[in-house]
Amino acid sequence: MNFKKQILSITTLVFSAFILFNACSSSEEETINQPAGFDRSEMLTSIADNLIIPNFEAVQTSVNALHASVQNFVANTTEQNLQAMRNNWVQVVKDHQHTNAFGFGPANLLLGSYANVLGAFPVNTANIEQNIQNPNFDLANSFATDIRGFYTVEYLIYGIGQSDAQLVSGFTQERRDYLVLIVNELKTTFDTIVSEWRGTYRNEFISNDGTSAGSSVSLLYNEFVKYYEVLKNFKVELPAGLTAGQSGPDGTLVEAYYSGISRDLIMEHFESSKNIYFGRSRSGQSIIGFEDYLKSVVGGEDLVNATLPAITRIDNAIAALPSGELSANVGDQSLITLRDELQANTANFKSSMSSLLGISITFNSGDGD
Amino acid sequence: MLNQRVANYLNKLVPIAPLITFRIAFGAVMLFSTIRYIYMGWVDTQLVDPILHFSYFGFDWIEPLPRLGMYAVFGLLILSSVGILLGYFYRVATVLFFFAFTYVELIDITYYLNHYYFVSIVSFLLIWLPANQNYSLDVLRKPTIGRKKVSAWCIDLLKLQIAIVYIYAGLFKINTDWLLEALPLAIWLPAKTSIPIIGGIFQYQETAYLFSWMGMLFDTFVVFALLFKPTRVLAYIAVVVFHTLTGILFQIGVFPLVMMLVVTIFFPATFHERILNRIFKKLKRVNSEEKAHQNNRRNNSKLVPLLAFFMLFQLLFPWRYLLYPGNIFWTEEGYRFSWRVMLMEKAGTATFYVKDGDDGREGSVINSQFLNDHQEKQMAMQPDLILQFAHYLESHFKDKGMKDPKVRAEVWVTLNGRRAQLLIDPKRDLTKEVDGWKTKDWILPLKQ
Repeated sequence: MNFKKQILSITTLVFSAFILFNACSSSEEETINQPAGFDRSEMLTSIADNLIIPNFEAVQTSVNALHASVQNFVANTTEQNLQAMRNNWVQVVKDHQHTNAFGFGPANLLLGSYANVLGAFPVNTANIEQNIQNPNFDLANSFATDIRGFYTVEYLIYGIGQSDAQLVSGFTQERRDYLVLIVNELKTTFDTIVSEWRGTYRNEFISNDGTSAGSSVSLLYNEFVKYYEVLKNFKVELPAGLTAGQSGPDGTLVEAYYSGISRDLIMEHFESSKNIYFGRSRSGQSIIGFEDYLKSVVGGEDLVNATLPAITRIDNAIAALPSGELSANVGDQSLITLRDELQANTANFKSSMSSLLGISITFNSGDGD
Repeated sequence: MLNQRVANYLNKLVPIAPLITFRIAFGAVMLFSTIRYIYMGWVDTQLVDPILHFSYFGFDWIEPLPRLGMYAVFGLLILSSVGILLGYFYRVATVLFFFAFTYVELIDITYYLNHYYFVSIVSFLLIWLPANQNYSLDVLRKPTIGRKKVSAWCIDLLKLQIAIVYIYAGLFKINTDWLLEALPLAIWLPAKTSIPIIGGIFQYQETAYLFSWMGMLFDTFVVFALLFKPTRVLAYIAVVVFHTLTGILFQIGVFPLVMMLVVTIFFPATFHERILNRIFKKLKRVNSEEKAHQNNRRNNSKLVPLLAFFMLFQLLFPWRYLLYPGNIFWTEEGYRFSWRVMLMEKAGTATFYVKDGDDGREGSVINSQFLNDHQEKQMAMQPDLILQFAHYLESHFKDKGMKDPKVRAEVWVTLNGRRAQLLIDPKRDLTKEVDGWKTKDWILPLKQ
């Protein structure tokens, strides 16, 4: 055999193979027509169009309403306008529960997932007060998450135990400026997120239908699990004093401490987790979700059957939470029960599901041959 | 008689060319791999950023250097790979590479890969092999070391090492999950249907069975096929196809390329000589004559027994799992360093509870406050790492003023699609347990 040819063909073989698999791992982003089997692209489309985009639009709408009422309040600082702001704010944070698990793509901000940045709690009131007094404070260049976002607005408009009259009379120009600054950031952020989802990102999301790290399924799944764990770790366990090293329950650690609507938010948050898992729009219309995907894979049916009663028990545990302000009841046994029920379902959502679906969680190399 | 045959074998000389190609290929891929590692930002995310690292048993004294120091180590890796590639200060380069690479590997066991182990071993073997004694800058520097022939065992040693990897990888695929259930491929392949062109076939269970059986047969027999001339070309095509497929399907970095290149050592010397002569046509001087060869025969009397012992260890060590009770996939006692690759889909959720021995208050741990995603994922299914994390938590909470922390863990693990089960005794105070070679009685047996 011609030697030159032999070498040439072997080198070509090796290198084209190498280039091929490198190319393939990146070209998973392209749209591929899939034959039968589970169509991940269809699931992504269904979730994008019926869950992610409408839910972000809802936040955008309520944030815009809040923004308008803040403008109103700033121009005309009355108790009535204060109340109008609060009503709008409640809608904003309820809507936020239904998007908190979608902090990827346009909602992955410079400082991280939007929910980590703008939904951080508890806020640092001392630093907020300091920023209010500081004429040179520059929000855009601040990396702190506990002086901005939804719960900073809450602190400003609910106050800490003052009467509404006191709160209104204490709303100095600096305070109003800070409120406007914070609400403007919310508006800009959600206007951008919605316009990007309506623009090119939707297609990018739907067509990146592999399961490797960075694929849409992996992003969606990871954030879904992360926010399920946020519910358990930060909204229930920490306030209830159930985290290692805590000396007891601490009511100031609840989400929405100043408004007292923590219980409602826990309910909305879990509703959102269920919508993603079952494949359900916020209004209850059935779409394609992870449960459908699970039913199509080896061992999936068993997991689905085990998850269902676990979810019902969480629903019951949430319903059993005391109806008053959660911060005053963080020592209640019902929080421990809720933590236990959330814990009992964690492995279903976290390791069992990713394992059966073959979703890569990190970019690190797995063990191979 | 036998002694005579051994002596004859040890004195047998063969052309050096295959060893030279091996050196160049290994140096080049290691150079590429090191640069890739830095480029991916892994020096920071894997080595510098983590709050704690999981250590290898017996190597808990290995610590990462500060950021600058870690980058210096990677600088050394680059320099020493170039040294190996060019055969420039080769002995120094191989020693440096071996220590630097192995050091980096030993920092955190959650990044353990069989292939990294393979690289450590090969770089160790290269220290003792005269792979710089032709087609190298060392020969330009010092022509007297040049030679055209080398003891046959030098090349056979590398072949044996490669053979161990493939054959053990094949033998350990002979188990019921792999062959009879096509697991874990029946889980992994349907997740890959969006791969262009071939993606469509991965939704069928038959594909998983076909791949499982072919994979087992390939790993077990490919080395034999490479050894014999009539099957060699076919075997090499199989090597390329096999590693390309695994490269497309799984996140396994540069390793398919490593294997495709090192396997060429099974090709005849004439093949390598022709490649090398073509590459070095213009550098005739580098291709030195056999001037000093006679005086340069290596003193093998100490080296050969040492390397033979090393290979014997390699042959035996993977079988240590037989000394442990229970399912090796479940307990992972004797799992590492034994060429068990891609054998299982395993994942766990581990929740740790720390109890204050004084006031009896127990609280759970938010793992992500201590571990990155990868570390948490790896820890949550491997008993020895669960123990390490428990010990870390013990000292962490002691530092925080807790006098007598007790740590237990509820760990739900799913193995090859089975429903999740408890991996370890959730009541056991892990601060009282120590890691070791002995079987861990706090691991619960795998049901079904």
